[in-house]
Amino acid sequence: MLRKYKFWTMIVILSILLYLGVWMVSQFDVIMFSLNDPDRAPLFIDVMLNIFQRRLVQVIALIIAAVLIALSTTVFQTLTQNRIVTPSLLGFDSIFVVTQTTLVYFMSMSRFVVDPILNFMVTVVLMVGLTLLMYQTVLKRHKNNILLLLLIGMVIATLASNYASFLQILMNPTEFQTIMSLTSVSVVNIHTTLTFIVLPVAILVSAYFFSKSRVYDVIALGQTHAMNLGIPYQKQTYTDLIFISIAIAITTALVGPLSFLGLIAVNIAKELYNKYHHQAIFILSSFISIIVLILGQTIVELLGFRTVVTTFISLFGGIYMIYLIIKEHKV
Amino acid sequence: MIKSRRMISIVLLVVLIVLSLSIDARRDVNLFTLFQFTPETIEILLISRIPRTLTIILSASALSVAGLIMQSVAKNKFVSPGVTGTTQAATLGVLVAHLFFPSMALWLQFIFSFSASLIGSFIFITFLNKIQFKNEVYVPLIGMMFGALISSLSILLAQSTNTLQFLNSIGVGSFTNKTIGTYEMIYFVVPALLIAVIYASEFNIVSLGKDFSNNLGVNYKKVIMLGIIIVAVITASTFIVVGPLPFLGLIIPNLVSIYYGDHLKKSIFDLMIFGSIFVLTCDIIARSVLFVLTGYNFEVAVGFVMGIIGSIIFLYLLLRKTKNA
Repeated sequence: MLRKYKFWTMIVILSILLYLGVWMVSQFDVIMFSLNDPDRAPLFIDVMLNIFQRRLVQVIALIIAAVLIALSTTVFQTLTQNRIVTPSLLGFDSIFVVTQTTLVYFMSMSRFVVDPILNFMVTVVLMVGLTLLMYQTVLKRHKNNILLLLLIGMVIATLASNYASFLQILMNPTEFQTIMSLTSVSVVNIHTTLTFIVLPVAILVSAYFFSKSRVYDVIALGQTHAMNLGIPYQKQTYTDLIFISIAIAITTALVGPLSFLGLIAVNIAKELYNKYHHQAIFILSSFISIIVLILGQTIVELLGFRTVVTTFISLFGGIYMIYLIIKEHKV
Repeated sequence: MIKSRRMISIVLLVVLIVLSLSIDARRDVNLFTLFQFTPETIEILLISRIPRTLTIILSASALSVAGLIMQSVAKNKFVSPGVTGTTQAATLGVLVAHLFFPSMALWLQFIFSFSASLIGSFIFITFLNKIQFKNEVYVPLIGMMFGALISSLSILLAQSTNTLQFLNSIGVGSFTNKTIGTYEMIYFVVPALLIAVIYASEFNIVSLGKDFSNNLGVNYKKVIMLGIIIVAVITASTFIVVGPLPFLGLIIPNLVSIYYGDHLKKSIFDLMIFGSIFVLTCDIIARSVLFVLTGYNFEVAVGFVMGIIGSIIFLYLLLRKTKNA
């Protein structure tokens, strides 16, 4: 496998190395000064190792997020038969803020708020539960209309964020500060222990998607064909949506919203690889997703943190998406 | 049937206006003392309460009409200026005005947000005309993505100039402090509303499609352009004075078309009345909810209340419509 994707593996490794080392650019003077001073050098090498270790954990978290987003977007696009949708639009980030706000408001300073691991688990369970509820009510009644589900998800996101802001007004300042620190997850603010808890779950979810890649090849033919060829379509869709929920919930709670990343990665992958074997698209889109996320973060750090990588990605992702729609739907 | 509905809604509107005029932090000027018209009550009415109520009614009716025009122009029931990126473009315009001319003259902000929302909605409409959709849900979805794109542009700009706080502060609609001196910009919507009333039938015809409207002797391109300009004026001026009012342009036209049908010339005034009733109700809730809950004289931004109530109504409409289809 590695030989087949030699080029992409090289670029991924290169961008990871770049990310690990990019902090040295702005701190170049300090590093040179400290290393030349014989008294400081041993201590400073320890510090540097520490920094590298922390950045390595960040890289692992970024890779988890990138791969999960790429895989779940690919599956979601297959289920919807549509190349411009992504499950991140279902409003997970607002639901995340709402669960945190509700937890703090009704159980202020309890273990669910203070303990980050417990908090993470409760949040993910609540997020998956809420989206399941949405699937239940929408898909069952409206004949698997996933586009409608997406629109309803976006409306619920507005509802949720307004409700959260309303609760935040009623709070006292201490609780509000807690909310702010809990919801300010971003690519640069990753919890170390959480990363290692998430890792096995992420591997499990990815393994599931990979193991079903042949099934997705068939589902891509359309509902009737898939049913004719012996796929339990309803059940399969439902299971897939649950796994997609878990994947997106995890990434949102770990690194924050990354709405357009999946869109960019999967579409570039489909453009580069113009056949429809899901296994190949899975691998390729994961690679591209990792590269875009990590290289983007590297560039943001090089520019001195003027912006956040997610804004960067959604800007370019949005433009790319509009180009795609025009290309696909030309009259 | 329709006549009695109309009577009920007008009575409701009058009741809500009186209620809106009688609620404030000054609790001694209330429903019972209001009509004694002492010099003090008259002063309070003239300086703060009438401007506020007028702002509510004007912005509510204007945004409802803007939503309706947007729906005719885009030929889709589920769009409104807030969904298709027009409001987001207005935000971007105000942000740019704030960055380049921090003196914050209101008319300057208006010009910037007007041109930005004009460009934004123009791009979206040309975009829609370029492509063909079969699915009704697809258009608002793309509009929301387009809006997200413009928002991320604003966020990028705000992040690199340290104005994120300003961006957040203009992002929520509120009728607080609408007194003499801060609300006058809302009068820009009056000519826009008048033109909308005059051209109501044309907008009706345009929503049937290009060929059909050309057959009926309506200049398709001209009416579309006129619609976009009206929407941009309304969006920009309400945005400057009040801020974004979510879901208003989306749900009011849909509710009105359920009760009064799609004949615009007949229903455009019902539309304005409905919009005003909705926003007045939300504003009264926003003003009194904290007093009821906590006993303090604070008010919530009306945008939050409207976001909550509006999204619930929109969900209902969405599920109802797609179920019948």
